Amino acid sequence: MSRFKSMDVEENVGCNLIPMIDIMFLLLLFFMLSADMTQRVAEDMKLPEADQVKEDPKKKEGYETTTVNLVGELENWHVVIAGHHYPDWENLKIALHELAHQAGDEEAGNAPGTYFSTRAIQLRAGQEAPYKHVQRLIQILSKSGFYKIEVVATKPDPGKT
Amino acid sequence: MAGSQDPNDNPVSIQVVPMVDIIFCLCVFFMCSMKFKELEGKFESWLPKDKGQSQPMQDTPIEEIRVALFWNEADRTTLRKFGNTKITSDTQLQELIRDAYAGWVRLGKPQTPAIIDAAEMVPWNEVVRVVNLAKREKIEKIEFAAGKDYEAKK
Repeated sequence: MSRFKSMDVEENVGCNLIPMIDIMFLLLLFFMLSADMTQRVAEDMKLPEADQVKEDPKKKEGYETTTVNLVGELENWHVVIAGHHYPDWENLKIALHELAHQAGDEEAGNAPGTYFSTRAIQLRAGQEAPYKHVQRLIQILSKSGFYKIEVVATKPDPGKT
Repeated sequence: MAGSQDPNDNPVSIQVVPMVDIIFCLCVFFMCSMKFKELEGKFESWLPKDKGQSQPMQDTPIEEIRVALFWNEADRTTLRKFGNTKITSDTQLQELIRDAYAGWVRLGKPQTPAIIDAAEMVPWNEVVRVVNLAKREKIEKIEFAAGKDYEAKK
């Protein structure tokens, strides 16, 4: 009955972990390198599409840029700058005024009684944002001393019909 | 050998199971936080530095290419007009802009601006679409018509 039982053969069915670890390390490396750990200045939103937009160059043209987001839905739209929400336009005005009047930002050669900042504003407004909010934001930016406004849009996906 | 699983081979064997757990957790974290970036670009639109609006003189002919955008609240759509012409498609609007701009260029006025005059409730997407059409025709000066002064009413 137990002729074969005496043959004490131990079958090794262990899982080889080394290739799995290699692959997981590679995956980890990929996700770590592609993760954006910088401070998020661009809010998640659906931007207008335009094929004529100039791609944002990595090298800036010698001036600082601040991203101003206009986010919301239906009638409720508000401004977000570097993660700070400004549901009240008055607070936004104060914040933008302070930003425009930062030391070293004043443009050279401003006429007496006028102030213009060298800083550019990247205006990111959602597709559905009513124009009145964008217009009001531009008016506030202008009155704060910003004149370099860059309207941000996405390039349409060439694969999309 | 590093690849050996038999602990008897190496008296200081590494416990790989906790390491795998940690790598798994890190992988899941980075996978969840990952976001593919959309390709973004910008239109530079420098605002005029001279404050206030100059009133056009009565005798001066209006030198502009004006596109008006109206909002139809009933069916929540945007109506586009070029002069008195109702626009039905982007192609039609682009052709009208092209013809108008070519006319100004022939008159030696390539700096004639395209003015976008949008109603308050027109979605920003529609405004940018007209800017894009004007940019396709290589119009350098694109301006937004001054609407209500929101800051002056208080």
